[in-house]
Amino acid sequence: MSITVNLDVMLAKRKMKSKELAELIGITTANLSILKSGKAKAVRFSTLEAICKALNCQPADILEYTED
Amino acid sequence: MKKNKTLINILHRLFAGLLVIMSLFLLINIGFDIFTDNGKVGNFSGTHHSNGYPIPVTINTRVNKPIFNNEISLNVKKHVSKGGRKGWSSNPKYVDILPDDINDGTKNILSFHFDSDKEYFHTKASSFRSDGYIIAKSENKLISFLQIFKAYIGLFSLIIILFFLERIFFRLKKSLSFTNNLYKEVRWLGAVFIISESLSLLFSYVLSTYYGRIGVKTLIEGKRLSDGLELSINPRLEFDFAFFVVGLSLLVLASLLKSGNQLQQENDLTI
Repeated sequence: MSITVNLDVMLAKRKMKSKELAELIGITTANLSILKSGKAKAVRFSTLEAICKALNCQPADILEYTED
Repeated sequence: MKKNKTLINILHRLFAGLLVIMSLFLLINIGFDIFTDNGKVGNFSGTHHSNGYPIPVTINTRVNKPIFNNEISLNVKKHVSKGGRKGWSSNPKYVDILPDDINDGTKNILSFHFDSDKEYFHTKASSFRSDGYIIAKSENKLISFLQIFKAYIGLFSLIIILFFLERIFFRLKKSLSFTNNLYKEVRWLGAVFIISESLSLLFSYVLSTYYGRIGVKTLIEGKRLSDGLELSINPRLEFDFAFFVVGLSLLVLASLLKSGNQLQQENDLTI
């Protein structure tokens, strides 16, 4: 089982660039890249809240559970 | 935090300096052993193993039939011989009057010497035990090899320990955090402590199996050494339990650092 981060999809839907989102939620582009690539070990609620607010979406729009 | 950094900086410099000094000391020792016949170059004398290598022994000494009586020596003139031995010249007096039967049987007087008229110590102990080394040479190749290895293993271990300490404090100086290399170096440091002590114990055990004891006899006619002093030198197992425990503790610390490293990585990857 794994958690997939669909941040790329949401960014494309909102026609927003990674750099723009990083600035809006207050994290570095390097950390946003880690999050997008799925290398992150955990996501803080505060970061998730900021992403949802910036992209005007729900956590489920960004995170997806898939069974191996 | 600043205090920690200063302390780490000082320790790093200390271990780096000690590493250089001890490495030079080892090289000089080996150089004297290989390139000189008696360990002397001009007025400078170094370590030389022409008489053999040290074997760990326990020395037991007992004063036979002792009488405990302190000596008071006023107007003492102290002098040191060329060989570095200290001597005293005065007219000593015993504190207690010696018994009349002092010459019946063999009796020896064990006394503290004081150069004032006050007695600061009294003793009733006539047996003394100490750990030491006896320098001996062997014609047997295996024993010779063990002796040479044992003679240098302590110094080698110390240099390796100093090397790892220098590396550890260098890393901490750069960044005071859990890293993979830090955990590995602490683990190696612990392993060196344990291996060094285990080898020391093993070699001293092997050497001790080749002889029973070392005895001393007097050749003075009609006399026995044991009339005055009983001396026995026995094989000793060389093992420092404290260093062994330090080694084990470092292994435990290394696994904690490994766990800390994993936590740090997870924390770094928490966005």
